[in-house]
Amino acid sequence: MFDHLKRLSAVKSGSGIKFLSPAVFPGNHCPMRIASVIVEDIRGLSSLLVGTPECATHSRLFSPLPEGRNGELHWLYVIDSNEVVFGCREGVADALRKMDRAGAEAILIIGTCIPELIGEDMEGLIHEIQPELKAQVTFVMLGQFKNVSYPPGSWKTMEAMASLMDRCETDSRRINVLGRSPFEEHIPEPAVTGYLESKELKLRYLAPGASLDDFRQAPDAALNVVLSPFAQPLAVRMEREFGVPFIALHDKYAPSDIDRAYGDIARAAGYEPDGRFDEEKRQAENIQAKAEERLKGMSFVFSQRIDMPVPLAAYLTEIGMVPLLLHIEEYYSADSAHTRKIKDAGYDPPVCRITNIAEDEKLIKELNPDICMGYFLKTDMKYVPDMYDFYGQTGYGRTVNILKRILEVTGE
Amino acid sequence: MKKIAVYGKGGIGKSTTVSNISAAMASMGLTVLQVGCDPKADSSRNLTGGQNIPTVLEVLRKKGDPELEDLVVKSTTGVLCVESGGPIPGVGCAGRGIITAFEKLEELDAFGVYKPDVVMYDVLGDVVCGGFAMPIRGGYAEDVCIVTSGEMMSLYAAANISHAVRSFGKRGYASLRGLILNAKNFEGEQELVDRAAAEIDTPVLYRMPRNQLVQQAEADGKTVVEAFPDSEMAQHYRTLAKLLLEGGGDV
Repeated sequence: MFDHLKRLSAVKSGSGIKFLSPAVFPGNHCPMRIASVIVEDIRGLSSLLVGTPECATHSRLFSPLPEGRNGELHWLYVIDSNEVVFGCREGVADALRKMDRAGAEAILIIGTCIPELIGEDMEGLIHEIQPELKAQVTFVMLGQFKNVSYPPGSWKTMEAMASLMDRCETDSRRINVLGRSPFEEHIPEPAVTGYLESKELKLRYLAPGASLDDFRQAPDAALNVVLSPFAQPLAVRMEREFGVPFIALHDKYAPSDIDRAYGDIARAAGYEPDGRFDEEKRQAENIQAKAEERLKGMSFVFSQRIDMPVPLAAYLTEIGMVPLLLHIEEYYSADSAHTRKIKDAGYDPPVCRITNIAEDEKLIKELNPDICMGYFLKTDMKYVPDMYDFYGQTGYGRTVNILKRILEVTGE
Repeated sequence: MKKIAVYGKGGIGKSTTVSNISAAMASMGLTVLQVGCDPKADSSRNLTGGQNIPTVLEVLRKKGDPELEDLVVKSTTGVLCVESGGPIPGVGCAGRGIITAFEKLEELDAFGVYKPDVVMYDVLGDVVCGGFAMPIRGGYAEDVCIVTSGEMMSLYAAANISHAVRSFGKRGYASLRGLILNAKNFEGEQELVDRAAAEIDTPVLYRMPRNQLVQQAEADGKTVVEAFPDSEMAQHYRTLAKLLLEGGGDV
């Protein structure tokens, strides 16, 4: 029944993750949608979407205006039948020239399926045309056929922003916070950001909601603190191209790992840790000890809506739980380290995409898990719902709350 | 890491030349990865005892999501061999196939895992579309060599390829290193190639003489470097290998 699925250790990218069942599913959103929404939320950044008439029409459903709130341009380039054969570089170059004359400050080209399919060379195009333009240009290729799900629309767009960054002198008091906007009021602010501000460090948030200038100046930071898997590829690229080191917090669940990461941040930012998180750490260690005792040997299955399934599965495995099946929406390259931890613990669960939970639940029941996590319809299995509540959170508090919920559901 | 793409008209002896260069480099103690970029998938036959190896696209088609070990075959000469392959004849798109094969190797971190000192791309006759331009794009190769004889169609293809490489050069990609003459031994051949090289504005890097040992080695599914290591012809390939390693750009 699960033979068609790959084991976690055999997965190297999102394309290795199979659907759990052939249950009816209309498909995921095009990653172009996410990219178009993100670009609208970066002040000063214009965009040129290159695709079929359907791509253009579809993008206008959620990004309806050709002008942004601050004079940005969000233009569409519709490929014609000749360009499918001969490529669209000349037409796209002309469009970029027009956008440049119309005052675009920086332009993100969003390539969709056809340019990707015919191997349109956006990198080469930009190399050639950039000297003519005042506007800086970058690009992201988001052929849906290569991106089974929607997260690449986020992380590839964020990663493309590195091309717009300026090399600048390091400001030892500056820290970039990647993957978090200060305007995300619906998500509790991670404790670490307020703490860093209390140390009189200057924080710059790099996420939708930031400005083009924020991105441009970002290489002046002494450190990137990463709070989201969508931003880690950008952090990796900034380290490679600008030498800005990064510390990721979003994938740390174990109190010891969080403690080490906080210590690393303190060292990189040049302040002495003052015990601010000691109480939170103690609480996390206490509840972890309780969880280790009560959850040891209990098996689990992840369903949809867990934003970082591999790091979380690695942590739950570390405290003695047994992974049976994981729904993974996107496999990030950074997941490989967590995969190794799970493998080292003696497990290698099958991974899948659950797309129709009503049908797929029957299959999951066959595994007889002690507990499930993530999205389910009404089910008689024990499960922890609403795992997406933890999206955007980090630190000891998140670990405490996740373990509390699991312990509550197991009722022990 | 040195990355060299070798182009040339079909049947001109590209794969023979590339395999021998790869074998020569491997015999110098270098880790060499040879990537065949032709749907015929016969680039590495002389390195693998005349046997075809599974191609990237074939494995992808059958297995869906291959492991690196499914795609890379270590030959008796020590050369690591990959064949991109192509779609089923008459169906699909060969250029798209090449792009997919390259992306799959990158996704599986082939260069990181095998850490080759040299990557040799053996690319089919012409830069016919975006797919077949992949080896000279995006940092895959930095040097391009064109194998040619003095025959008109071979030189015509060389001119086309050089034009394509030059147009890509404007975009900061690979540059044309020169021609490799794989001689057919007809009268006036050398002069014809010299004239063509002058017109293309590129040097003739090496003049490989015609030698029966090449066919004899091929009959055994071997390179000359492996089958007749002490021969004069093997020495020619080793000299060319050194020449390619010493000049051009490092990636």
